[in-house]
Amino acid sequence: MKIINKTIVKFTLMSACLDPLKLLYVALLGFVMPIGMKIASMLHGASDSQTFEMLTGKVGVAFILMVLCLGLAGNSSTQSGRGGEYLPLIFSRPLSKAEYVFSKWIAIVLIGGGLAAIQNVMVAAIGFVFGETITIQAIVSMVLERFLDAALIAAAMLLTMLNRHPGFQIVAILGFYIWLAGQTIPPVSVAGMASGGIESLSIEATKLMLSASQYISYLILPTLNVYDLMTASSFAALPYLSYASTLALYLLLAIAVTGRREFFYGTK
Amino acid sequence: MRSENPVIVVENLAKSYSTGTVVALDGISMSVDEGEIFGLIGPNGAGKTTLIGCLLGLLRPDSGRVRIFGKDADLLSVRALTGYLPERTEFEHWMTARQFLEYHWGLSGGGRRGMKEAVEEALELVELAESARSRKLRTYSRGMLQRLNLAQLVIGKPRLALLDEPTLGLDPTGVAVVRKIISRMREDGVTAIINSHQLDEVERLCDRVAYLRNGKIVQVETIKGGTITDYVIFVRWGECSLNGTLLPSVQEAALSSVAEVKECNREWGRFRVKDHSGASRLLAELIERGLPVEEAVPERLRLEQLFESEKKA
Repeated sequence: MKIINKTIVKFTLMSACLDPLKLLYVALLGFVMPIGMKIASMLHGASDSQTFEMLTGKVGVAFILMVLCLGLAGNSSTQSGRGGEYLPLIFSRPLSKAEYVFSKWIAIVLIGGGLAAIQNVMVAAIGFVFGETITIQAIVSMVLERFLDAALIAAAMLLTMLNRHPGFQIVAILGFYIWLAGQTIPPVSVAGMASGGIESLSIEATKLMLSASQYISYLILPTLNVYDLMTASSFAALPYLSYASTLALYLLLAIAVTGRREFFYGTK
Repeated sequence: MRSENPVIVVENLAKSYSTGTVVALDGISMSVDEGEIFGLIGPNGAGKTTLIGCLLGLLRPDSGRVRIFGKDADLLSVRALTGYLPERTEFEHWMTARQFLEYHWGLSGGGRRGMKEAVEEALELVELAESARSRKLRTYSRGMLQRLNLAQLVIGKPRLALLDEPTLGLDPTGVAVVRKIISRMREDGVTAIINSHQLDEVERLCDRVAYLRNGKIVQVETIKGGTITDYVIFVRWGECSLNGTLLPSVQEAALSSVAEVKECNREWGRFRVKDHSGASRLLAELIERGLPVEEAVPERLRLEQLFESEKKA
């Protein structure tokens, strides 16, 4: 049985690069900003900011995919936009639902992982020029990590795009924002001690929200820190299991909802 | 059952929407032979498009069975032999016509080998202007898009074609292209189902036509040379000595000539016959049984009359 359809992958990659405004956004957020920040921190001898860490990490991958790939699977064959009138024709072809899901997933992983990996390598190269010590192992780990991030985010996105249940969509959006909050609220903002009253309450609430979002983050998008795992003195199976099971769950659910859904004109 | 190995067999097919509140198909049974061009007509909401969805295996019936080429409709091996022309295709507007067909060539299982030839052949068949073939689809008119839609139908050389409103949005030359494609399919022995509101086109193109209403097949008519071959013949006879045995004699004559008695009284009768030779046989049988036949007039049916009789009903 075929798992990947090259035609779907090829045309999905093509359609992701169509909108010049989206490409400009990705160029600015994914390349111009982090590269500028890196050069600035190198010139002034400062450490990398948290915004920089975000843009060059998992959040950066999520931003790239949210901009370029949202709607690439559920609404139409290759591109978002004008209704869901294209998929019945696609599924009238000898193409299984699993093949469709895997092909879309591969294409989205290539887009998100590829762009983020290029960005990471460029940033590392700038650091190297300015005298930072960069090992091959670190670069390989970074590239691998970006692809692993993209694989998980792409699977979650596919599930959301292909599942038309409004309740699920709301939960998915909420989950994404909670995860984003966990990634973006700087720990420093909740580190300070307060004297009491409203200020203390505010700090405690923020701490609670942050820890909740971190738990949700571990649950919905577990991270594999490839460099740490590669250089660890002992083998830890849990992070791998956690990552692989979540990825498998998302992909299987995406195939299941696609298989269950009737793709035809006028069916609601 | 018309043939020992029909391409399509549908048995007691039922399908409803909105958890059973809207019945789209209500126990449909039919079969279509290899190489047959079969029409589906009926008012809006009759269930024609839903039937096509079930034939494609894209809609799951509530009950009943669909067999295509002797297999379940949703098997990939069946889809590899099936082409589909949707009524409302949405196009990827960034694609060119060639890219669109390359995409469908790939989806139909074709490799790089032979792709360019297949694409150009399909574009030639639908007579899409050479200058338009590398243009973005966002610049296409509705008629051009429908031609491209037809091209994707033929790109994988299907053995079964399901066409939903094939002439929609086409100018007369485009309609001629549809006729050409159907005619080529007929020559190649391709089986086709055509769902259309263009009754004159259905009469012209199809071998048989099913009239659907409220999810049921009300009538299936055989068409030849643009008219329904099953037709009603009005026969008038004079006073005869068959007083007590008139009706049995007429019924025997009808039975012998494979005709159906629709009405019968002392001076005339109306019969449904298969074709001209059926009508001749009926008249011969009636005369043989002592009915002094004075007049026989065929009441030709056209597809519009199915709708008209529906309205009267």
